[in-house]
Amino acid sequence: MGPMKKKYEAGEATKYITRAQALKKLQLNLKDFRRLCILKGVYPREPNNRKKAQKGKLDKKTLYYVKDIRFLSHEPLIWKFRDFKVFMRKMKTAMEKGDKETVARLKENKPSMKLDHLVKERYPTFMDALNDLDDCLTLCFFYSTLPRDTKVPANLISLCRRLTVEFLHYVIAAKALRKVFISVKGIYYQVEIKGQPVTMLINHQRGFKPTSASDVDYRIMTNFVDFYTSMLGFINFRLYHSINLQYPPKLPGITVKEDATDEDAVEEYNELVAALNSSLVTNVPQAEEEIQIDEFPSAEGAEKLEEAKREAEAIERLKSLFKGLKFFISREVPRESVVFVIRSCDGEVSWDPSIFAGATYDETDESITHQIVDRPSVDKQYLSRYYIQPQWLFDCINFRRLLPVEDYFIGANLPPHISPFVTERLGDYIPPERQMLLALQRGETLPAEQEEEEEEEEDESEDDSSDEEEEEGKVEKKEPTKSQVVKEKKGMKVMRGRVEMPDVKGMEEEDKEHYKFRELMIRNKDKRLYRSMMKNRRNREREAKRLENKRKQHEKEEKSLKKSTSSGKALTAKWSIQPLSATSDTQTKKMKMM
Amino acid sequence: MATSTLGAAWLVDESDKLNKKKPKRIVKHKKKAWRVTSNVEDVERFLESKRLDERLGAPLEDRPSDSLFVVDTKTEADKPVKSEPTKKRKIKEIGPLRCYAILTPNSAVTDPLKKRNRVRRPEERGDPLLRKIMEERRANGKIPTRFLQSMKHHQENVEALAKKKKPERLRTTFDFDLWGDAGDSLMIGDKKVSALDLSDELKTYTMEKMGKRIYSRPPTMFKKTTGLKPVEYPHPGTSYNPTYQDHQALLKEAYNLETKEMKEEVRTRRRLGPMLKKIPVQRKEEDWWSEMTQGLGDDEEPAKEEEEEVPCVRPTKPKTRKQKIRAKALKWQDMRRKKLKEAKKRLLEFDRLRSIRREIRKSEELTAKRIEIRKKEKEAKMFKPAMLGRHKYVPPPIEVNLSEEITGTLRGLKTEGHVLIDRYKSMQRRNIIEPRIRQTVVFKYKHKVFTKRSHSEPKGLKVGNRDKDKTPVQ
Repeated sequence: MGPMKKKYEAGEATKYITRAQALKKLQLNLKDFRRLCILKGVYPREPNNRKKAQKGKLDKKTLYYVKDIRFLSHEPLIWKFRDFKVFMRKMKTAMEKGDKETVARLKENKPSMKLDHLVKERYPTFMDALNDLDDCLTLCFFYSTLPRDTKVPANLISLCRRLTVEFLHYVIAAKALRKVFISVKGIYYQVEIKGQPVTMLINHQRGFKPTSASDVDYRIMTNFVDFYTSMLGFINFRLYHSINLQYPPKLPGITVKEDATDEDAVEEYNELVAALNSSLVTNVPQAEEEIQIDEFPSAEGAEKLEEAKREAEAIERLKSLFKGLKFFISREVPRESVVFVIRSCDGEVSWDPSIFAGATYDETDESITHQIVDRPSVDKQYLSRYYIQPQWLFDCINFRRLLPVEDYFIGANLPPHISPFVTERLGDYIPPERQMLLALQRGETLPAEQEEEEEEEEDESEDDSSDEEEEEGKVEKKEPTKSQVVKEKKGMKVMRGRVEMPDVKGMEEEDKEHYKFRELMIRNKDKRLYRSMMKNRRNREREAKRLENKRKQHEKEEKSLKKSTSSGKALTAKWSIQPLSATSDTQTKKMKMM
Repeated sequence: MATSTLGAAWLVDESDKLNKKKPKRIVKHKKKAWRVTSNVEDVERFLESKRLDERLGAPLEDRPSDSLFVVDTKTEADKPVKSEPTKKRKIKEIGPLRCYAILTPNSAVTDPLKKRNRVRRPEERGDPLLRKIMEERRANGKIPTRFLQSMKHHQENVEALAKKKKPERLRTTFDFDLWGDAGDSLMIGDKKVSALDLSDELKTYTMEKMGKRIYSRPPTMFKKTTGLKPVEYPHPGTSYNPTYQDHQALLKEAYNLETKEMKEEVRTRRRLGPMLKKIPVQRKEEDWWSEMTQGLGDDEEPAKEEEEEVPCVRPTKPKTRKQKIRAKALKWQDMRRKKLKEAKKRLLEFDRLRSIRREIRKSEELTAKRIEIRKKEKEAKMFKPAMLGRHKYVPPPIEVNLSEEITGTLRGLKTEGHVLIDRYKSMQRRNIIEPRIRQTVVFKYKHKVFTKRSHSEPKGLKVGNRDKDKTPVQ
């Protein structure tokens, strides 16, 4: 037996270090330490046993892993921080003395940091970086919309703007947009990059909403953005090269010298890039090849394979959803998001040249098929185009097919905008709109829906031939061939073997019995869990049924209302709160009071 | 002197008359009177002008006209036409302002004290003889090599500075694939080494030879801090044009949260209410007194009582030898008995082998169960914000449009929430940054109290009291 061990010299206590200790060890001030931690991706940790980790002290402290801090101490950036501190000190003295020459000389030699190695270190593979892209994009998009007079450095804002525009260009070129959802907070986009879904939240194009210092710390967020810009830049580079685009993005036809000193020209060019309206210059023209899903002979995976195939088909359809359609955006519609959505589904778009540079055709162009309008009425209307509200575009993408335009006409009472991000559990209530969306996403066609669509297709074919029609035709052609097999003539001598219809009822019953037996086979240990699971499911189903009935009732009432009153009043009736019960009524009233 | 103001005026007049009548008497045969009687103004003026000349240099008449005038040989056209002078240039052209002229050293008077210790100018420094020799040499065209060398070095430095490259890559240019071949190499010292080649041996080698070590990231840093998604999927009720059910569900959620908060507020108010009573100043003072004097008066008396109560303890007697031996024997006996008992128990356990096996199985089951529970707890912990600092994570309020705020069009959409706050809170929720309350430094200066002089009673001796003070001395 060796000497007796002292308390807190092994185990949990040696694993953690408090923030104050870390500051002392690294000889940094709190500001620099926070910055370093954010850049390197070192996070505070919660110990399993706080008392032991804090060596008997009971107040709650911010703890870090000792190993993390030791790793931080080898970071060359720390020396850059120190250099910068000295630089600032020299600058301050020179400024106070009014020594302009020294100030100029010092500014020339301002120490600069590079964060490339950190990106590589934190994300060893490209897939790791893609995994963490959500945060990066959302923050960069937000910073790109900041006004110049905030505390954030102006060059960071413009860099964010540049990088985000580049990313949008990639999404457009790769046709990677999958889902869109307009919420009250902002617009959610889901993009698929290399099979990975990336969700980003972009704020609405409204005025800048200032925040109070207690809400959010801009300095911290700026540090994050600082790192994310480096990351996004490299990701953009790789993404562009993966689809054979030139990086930095170049517009075809327009040439601006790289080293042009004329700032206005450069800015104009950047604005044209930001218009998102023309495809970029590619490195090598590449023939697109269709991706075919490999088939694996597996018995139980057949259904899944089928589903995957259907999904792939739906995505293919989504990629060229607006192909051949020509849009025009009115001034009151948020330009950037609408252009992004249209262009990433292969549509053509233009707008009033007074709002933004890069418009390609005028409002008077007769070949425009859809004009997107968000006001109650338009004075001068062209007969050759539909005047629709912007929600149509977003809903079309979520439904993965062109929806009937009638519901979205100018001044019409819009159908609800449903979230594409919801996943239902078994037995959950699914509202009819959502049911339709799910069915359409799966690639099924609803009978009523199809008719409307065909009508629409005919209308479109008057303007210009669309590829949609061909697809529809294919589907129609396939159906009769199946029915022909059954309707063979009977006059032949050798009778064809009749297909014996399976005993559906009997099979179902058998299934049920099997199910019951399997239920009986459940171990006693798991029985309780199973029972509670089933109970919950039954409850959910009951609730769903109740809601469904309620919905029916509600719709019936609405119909009767519609008959009696004008459509304008119907809108208000739709959104006025109808009491679920007596209690819920009072609740909502309270909500209003608050 | 208690006369009225009018009376005083009279008095003054009278005294003036008296003064005028008295003529000044001057003794003329003394040197002192010369200054008063003789007029030396012209002499003074001459001396003053001479002093001025001394200060500013020779008088204008005496100076050569070359120093005063310049013959303008250049034509007007040769001069560059100046563009509109800026404000700064105007000031430069005017020169220093007149009001500052007095501050400039314009005296031509030499220092009368020749030995005054002052800072020598560079040309005055050093041995005058040596200086003279050096000057002669320079005149002959002989310059010391070290000067030449230093001039050359300076020139080189200037050139190098002009040639010096800017930092090779700006942070805003992304011109290589970080995850490609170029990104896979590391700079060790001044050598480029592919990261794939960096086996552990190489690491140690570089450490030994170059004194530089490559530190790898601890594996814990690659682990995720949370199971939550960075951008969470929004509630369907937050749609700008939601379905009725979704919106009601979200509204109900928000309502429940709000009522909970209100309930809590009411509860705290009820509990804290009695503590926040208004107490009059007088009672407060009384309370303070009673608190501060507590135990002061009656502290001494009980102390005396305690002293009395302490019983006297008799010193213990050491054990005798006999007692010690006996105690030892007893101890041994006890130990032996215990050992025997244990052996017997072990023998008996052969009979209950089966039950022991059962016990073991049960305990193993229990541990397995515990492991599972802990595992589940750990997994559940990944979806909750951890306690990372002094402050607890506060979830943001639910963003929801009220029923009357929903217009159903994109143009009339009323936005709720803030993306940046959402990100900030999300990072706190995902244990990336610790929640904290922004500390702002408030400087509290000590209040200095003055009493206005007009308000205070005059301190010091009063005239009326002077006599009183003096009387006791006498």
